Amino acid sequence: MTLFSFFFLFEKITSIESLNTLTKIESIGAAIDNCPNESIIITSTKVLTLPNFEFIATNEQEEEETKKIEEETQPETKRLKLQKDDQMNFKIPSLVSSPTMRREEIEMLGSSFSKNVID
Amino acid sequence: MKSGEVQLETTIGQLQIDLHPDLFPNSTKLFLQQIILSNFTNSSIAHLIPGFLLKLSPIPIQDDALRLKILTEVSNNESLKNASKFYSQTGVVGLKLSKDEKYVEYCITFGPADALVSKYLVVGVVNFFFFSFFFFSKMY
Repeated sequence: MTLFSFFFLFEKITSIESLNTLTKIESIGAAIDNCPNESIIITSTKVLTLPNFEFIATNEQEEEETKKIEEETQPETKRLKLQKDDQMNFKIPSLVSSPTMRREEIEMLGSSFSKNVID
Repeated sequence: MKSGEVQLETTIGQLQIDLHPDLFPNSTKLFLQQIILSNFTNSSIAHLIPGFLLKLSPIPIQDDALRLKILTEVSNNESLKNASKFYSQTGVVGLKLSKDEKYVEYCITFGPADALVSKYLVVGVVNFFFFSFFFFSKMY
């Protein structure tokens, strides 16, 4: 019986609380209905307590996430960038190896030329 | 679980908003940024549907990285599931992206918010205790 009475009282209290909140909300709605759009102006804003973003993600994690998102959203630009980089990398070794190749080529050409001339 | 509180002072009265960064981190971060930069101050209400919702003035998202994050948050199914917990409640602060996806619209609901499913992401829940002061003062 005591348990039952306790539950009954608890339900009564919660129902009263919910009724109070409902009446408040309805009153606000009515107040807004009476006011035109332009009359409601936000005069100032305040941050009472800053939320804890620590448990959500650190800066490093966020950076990684942004990188992933960028990769997913912009694959074409990434491809173009890679192609450009490849071209640049391809040019550099060819320039370095060119003197040796030229020597060999010149030697080969010279030999063939001399052979042709002799023939 | 709420972990942040924000106060908006209007010509009608005060609104206290509980933020939920654990469910929607990026959208709440943007909302906080706008409040810290005081972009809402001296701005009138953009759109009002009586008894249903109240839209604040739209704000451009200048940070591209944050814009992408919010886009993913909006398109994510889990975040929408989390948002659906709040749809039955009144006095919810929601976020909606414009068609260009460059502007954000914040709204406060006054009726049942079931119609906002798949359109709005929830940022916070509003306490009306201060906001009702104006109405009662006008009555008596």
